[in-house]
Amino acid sequence: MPKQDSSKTKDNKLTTRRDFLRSAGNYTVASLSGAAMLLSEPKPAKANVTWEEHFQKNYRLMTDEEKQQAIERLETRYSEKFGKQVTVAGTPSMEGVLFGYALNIQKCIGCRRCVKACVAENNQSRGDEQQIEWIRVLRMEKGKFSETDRDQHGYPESFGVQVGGNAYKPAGVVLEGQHYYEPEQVPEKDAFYFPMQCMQCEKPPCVKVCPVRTTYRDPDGIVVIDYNWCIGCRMCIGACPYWARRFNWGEPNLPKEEMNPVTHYLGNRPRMKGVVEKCSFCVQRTRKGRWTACVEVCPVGARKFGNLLDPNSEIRKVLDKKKVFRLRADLNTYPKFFYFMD
Amino acid sequence: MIKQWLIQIEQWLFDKNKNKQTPNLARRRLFRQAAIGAVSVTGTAGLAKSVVDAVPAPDIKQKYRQDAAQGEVELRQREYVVMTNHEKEAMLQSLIKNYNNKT
Repeated sequence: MPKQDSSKTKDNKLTTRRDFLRSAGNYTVASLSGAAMLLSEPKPAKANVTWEEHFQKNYRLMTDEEKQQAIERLETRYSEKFGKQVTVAGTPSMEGVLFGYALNIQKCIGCRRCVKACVAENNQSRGDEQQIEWIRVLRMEKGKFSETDRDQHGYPESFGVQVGGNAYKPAGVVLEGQHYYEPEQVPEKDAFYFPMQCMQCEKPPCVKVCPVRTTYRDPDGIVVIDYNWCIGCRMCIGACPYWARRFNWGEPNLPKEEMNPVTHYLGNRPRMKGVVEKCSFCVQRTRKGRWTACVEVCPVGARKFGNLLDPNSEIRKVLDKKKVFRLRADLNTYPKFFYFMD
Repeated sequence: MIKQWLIQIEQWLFDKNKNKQTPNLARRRLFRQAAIGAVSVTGTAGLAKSVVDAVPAPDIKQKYRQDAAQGEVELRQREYVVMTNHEKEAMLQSLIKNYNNKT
């Protein structure tokens, strides 16, 4: 007894084995609880990102082998997450192709089928909370056309006040309209519709401002994003004059049963919280010779898509024969998305 | 050296000659400090993560709405005008030339 007491005195700082085991047990419990808290997964998407994915290179700088590894990692992860076989393509640009797009604003009836098709095809976030749509259709009112404002014939009369000016009054379409409209039926009598999406600029300001070069222009003219390298700084959003980019403020809501399993690394693969996304001309389709989802679904054939380098393509014919609009603001972005009228 | 350690551990564990030899206090102190350090770091990190996770998420819907409003303002400043034939041709040639230069 006296011996044991003396071993516990502070002076010699000795511990009995029981004391040691007790304190070791306490420490173990405390550290295990801490570790458990650390490993708990309230944000599963983040937790699922693998170590290799954190340290992978920018897609443009990867070797073919590294690209294949990255793609396989993603395929495995997405297949597990969505409970179906997901493919992630890395199809590069085709040679001799420069994509262009044209939209007939006289034909567009504002039905927004293109918006819905785009959401479904490109795995955009759903729901009231965090809805993301790459295409935004503006409803604009046809103005009252004043004959005195018109200094030459030939301007389309149906486009009223915004069209047909003279040297003192600019002729054009100001993009001031309703972004959210819910009429009983479309098209409405006094309205026309102006769908907006990424213009795939030849000199994209979003690419110029990206500090990590995660967004870039591919040779076929599509401006793409490597989501893994996006740091969510939103510089590109501020730089885009067409407001074509969207930011994932929250974890995207993509129901398993609605997920499109045919994806592209630079296109419609599922995104994560904190990254920017935008229209990619359905890169997963168009690089395999298919139409974009919006072109395919348009019930009035208002959307035209094709190769600007091919003189016989539909897009070239539109540019040759139709009245084509350009942005008045001299931004020098050279968009490859055109609006036209018959 | 290792042998000495093993002997000491054995002595300490199996209580042989416990009273005859005092344990190495410096080493024990080191172990204790290391254990306390590890537990503190893990515990603090775990606690911090729990606190951060417990903070209510900001109103995401509001943020999406703000983005949309900003976009509307942005688009209102834009205006489209009809291109002349010359402008169309120049633009097309510029696109083609740019493609050929890059490839």
